[in-house]
Order: sequence, then C-alpha cells, then structure tokens
Amino acid sequence: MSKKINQQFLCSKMMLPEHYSDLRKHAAGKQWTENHRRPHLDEQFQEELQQILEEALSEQKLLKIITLNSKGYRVYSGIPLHSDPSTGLIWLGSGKCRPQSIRACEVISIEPVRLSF
Amino acid sequence: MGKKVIFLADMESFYASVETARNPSLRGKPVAVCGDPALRHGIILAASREAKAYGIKTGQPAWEAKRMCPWVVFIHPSMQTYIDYSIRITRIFEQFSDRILPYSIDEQFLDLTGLENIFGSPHKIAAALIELVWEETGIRCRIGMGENPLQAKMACDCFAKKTSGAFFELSSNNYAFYTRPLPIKSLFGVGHRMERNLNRIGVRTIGHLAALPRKMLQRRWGVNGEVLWLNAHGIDYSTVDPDTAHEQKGVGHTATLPRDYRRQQEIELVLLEMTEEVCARTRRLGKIGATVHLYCKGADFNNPTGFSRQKKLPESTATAAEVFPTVRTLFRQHWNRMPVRAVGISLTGLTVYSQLKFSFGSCYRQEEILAKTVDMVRERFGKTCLFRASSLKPGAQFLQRAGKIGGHDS
Repeated sequence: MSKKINQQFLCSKMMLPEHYSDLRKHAAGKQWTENHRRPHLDEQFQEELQQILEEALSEQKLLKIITLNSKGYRVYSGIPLHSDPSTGLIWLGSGKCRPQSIRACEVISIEPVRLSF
Repeated sequence: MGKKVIFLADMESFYASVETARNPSLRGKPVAVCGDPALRHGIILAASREAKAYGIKTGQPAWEAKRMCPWVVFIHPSMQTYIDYSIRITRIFEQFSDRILPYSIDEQFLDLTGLENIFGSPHKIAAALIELVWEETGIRCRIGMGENPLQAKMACDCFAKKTSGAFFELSSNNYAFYTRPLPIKSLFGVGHRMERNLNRIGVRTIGHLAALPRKMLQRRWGVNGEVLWLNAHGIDYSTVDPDTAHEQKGVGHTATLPRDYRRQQEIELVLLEMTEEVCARTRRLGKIGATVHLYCKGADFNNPTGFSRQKKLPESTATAAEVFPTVRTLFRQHWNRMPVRAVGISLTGLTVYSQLKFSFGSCYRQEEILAKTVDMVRERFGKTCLFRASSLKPGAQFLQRAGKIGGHDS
C-alpha cells in the first residue's frame, strides 16, 4: 500500500527543522532521565548493602560499588578502607596513590568481587 | 479490539497567543504577528481573537489589516520562542500519554487508547488538557477526537474550533452525518487546485465525493484520488507513532526573495547559498541525500509561472559542490526567464552517512573535508564568521537569512 495511504499525516507534516532538532533534544533528555532514574532501594536492600560493606571493611574484601548521580553511572572497584557516617563518605582503596571517596547517598549497588584464578 | 481514542490538539492563534502570554498588557487588544513588509514578509502569520473580530485573517497583507483595524498591534515573530512553547505543550501532553506526534508547531496528535481507566473518559481528559495548557501557558487549546487521526483532524478543524466547548468528537458512526453536508474544501487534503478540479466534475460537498466510485477517483488522480475517497468516508490507516515524530524525510529550504529576481546570475547565487545551507543541515544530521528537488515561483500573481522539479544525484551526498551542479542544471532547463519571487531546494532520500559513501578516489573528497571544516568553524564562532565572498554580491541572501528560523527572526 502506498505510504500516502498508510501515513498521510507523516507525508503532510509541516515542521520547522529547528523544531525537529529541539524535539530530538527533548526526546534524548527524556531518555537520559529515564535511563538514569534512581532505583528505589527499600530498607531490606539497604540493610543488605550495609552488611556487605561492613563485612568487606572487617575482612578487607574487594568490592564493586556502583553510584548514580547527575553525571550518570560510575563503577568503582577496590577495598573499603573506612566509612564515615558524619560525612556520609566511603573511602575505597583501589591501588591508586590516593583512596577514592564515594558519597554513600549515591550508591545504588555494592557487590563483593570474587576473584578466580 | 476496542476503538482507538485519538486527539488532535490545536492551539488557537498560536503565535499571537504566545505573544499575549509573554506580554499580558496585550490581553484584550487586537494583536497580529507579521513579518517585515520591507522584505516582502509583511503578511499576517497569526491574529488574536480580538483582531479576528475586525475581520483580520492569517495570510492577509499587513497594510490591509491596518486598514481594517487601525489600532491593531503588530508584533515581529520570534520563532524560537514559539518552538519553546510548542515543546512546553508537548511536555504537558506527555503527562497523559507517551504516544504523541507533533504535526506542526501548533498541532499535536495524541493517542489515548486504553487510558480511560487511569484518567477517566476522553471528554474528561480533553477538559483536563485544555485547562492545563491554559493554566501553564496561557494559550487556548481546541481538541478534536476521533477513532483515527483523520477523524480527529476533521473534528478539530470543522467543529471544535467553532464550538464554545473547544472539543468535538467524530466517530465512524457519526462521521458521515456531520461531514457530508460540508463544502468539499473542508475535507482534509483538498487544496484550492483540487477544489477547482472537483468542482469541475460537479463535486461541491464531501457527500458528493463520498458518493463517487473509488476506482474512478483512483483512475483520475492516482493515490491522491484514493486518499480523498478514504478521507470522505472517514477511513484512515495512519497511526500516532512517537518513533516517527523526530524522523526527517528530507531537508529543505524555501525563501521568498526580498524583490523579484530577473538575472540568472543573481538567482543562481541564491541557489548556491541555499544548497550550502541544505547540505550543511543534512551533514549535521549525519546523513546524505539521493535526490535534489528545486522549486521556483514566478513573480507575476496574475500569470502564475514557476516549476517544481527533482533529479537523482549521481551519488548520494551532502556536499554543496556535488549537489549544486544538479541544481543549476535543473534551473537552467526549466527556468522560463521570467522574474522569480521565491525559490526552494530540498534533499530527500536520506541515508545514514557512514552506510553508503563509497567515493573511491573522488575529486570531491577534498570538498567534503572543506565542508566539514567550515561546519565546525561555524558551529564554534557563528554562522556568519565564514562564508563565500560571492555572498557579498548584490542579491545574495546569506547574511540576511543567517540566524533566522523559517525566514523570520528567531
């Protein structure tokens, strides 16, 4: 069937190129927000994360921590050195000269890393 | 399967309403948005309700509007503001449905099928939409509803705009009853020329057209005839697909020239500038075009001349150096040496650049690199920082058009 019969409004659309381009930006922004929507972490899940972190702190275990903030997702790997409830920061030693600080409120996942040789 | 619920939301006197919303002191006054008469853009683009009460209509020359209502307030268009408002309205609609198809700057289709359980009846949704748009933007919105986009469009254009409730519903059951007595020009898809053609065979109302055999219209006007027959019966297979909302079939530019152009050199100069503009925009989309289309409109209103022709390019491209020779050939072949009032160029048959460019050892490769470099420089320092010396010649339009949207101030 002809395109004009199937989608006559697409064939007769009157749009300025600048409108198209702004609509594309709007759609991309919406998609970004959708992809970066912070997941809801219920109490039980938060307790589980806390437990994994405490275990890794006491036993010097390697962790993979994922954070999400306005800049997007970021994945950290390393051994937690210490967590400070007063500043809300987790300090992670990743073999670099300075330990990395992670804001606890941005954490969405903590997983222990199992090394296989 | 249940019936579809399609809305067409149309903004009343959009440009004029935006201007009134931005400047509340204009409320209640006759307002008309119009281009610059000195550049032959002095026609009314939108007139407020108060201006329309004096008989001022869209498309009318500004001087005529002034004669009808001497205290009419003329405002220059700000196209980017109108686009921003249009997207604000899209955002409002997105609170109700993600199936939205903007049809023009002031019209948007919405598919609300299956949302009755969440938001209530379509009438309630329409009332909520009209109120929200008014509260958040200060613009009056009219809504036509149907079981397909065509019915929604007809409901809006022929009825919702004329009723106080700003809402009208057409369905497959009542479509014939409401639309058949309407004059044929009210049918979507019937322009002045088609109206004349249909009048010639005795068709004056939508009912007359609906009574004709489909095959006959198909034989006479091909696909267009078939579409008209379907429209007369309220049949439409279109969908409101948000994926197609941002899809661009082609890239084009049309310009009304500030005066009638008579010299071949001058017209070709404008064509070159427009080809460059079209190619730059195509490159910005990361695409190349296969066919170039040239449109020229003669200056004499009493003896309308001009042409509209297209030609396939030797190979898909988005470089002016490759496109312009075809544009020039088309122009030289079809121009009748009569003064020209408006020209337009478009590139269609767009494909993604990386998929299809096999220009082995082409001499145009350097042109392509140059064009991309110019794009980068212009993106960083502005459009007018780098241009052809020929754009300084009399008749050139590049500097006048730079920074404009749709030929009007941004």
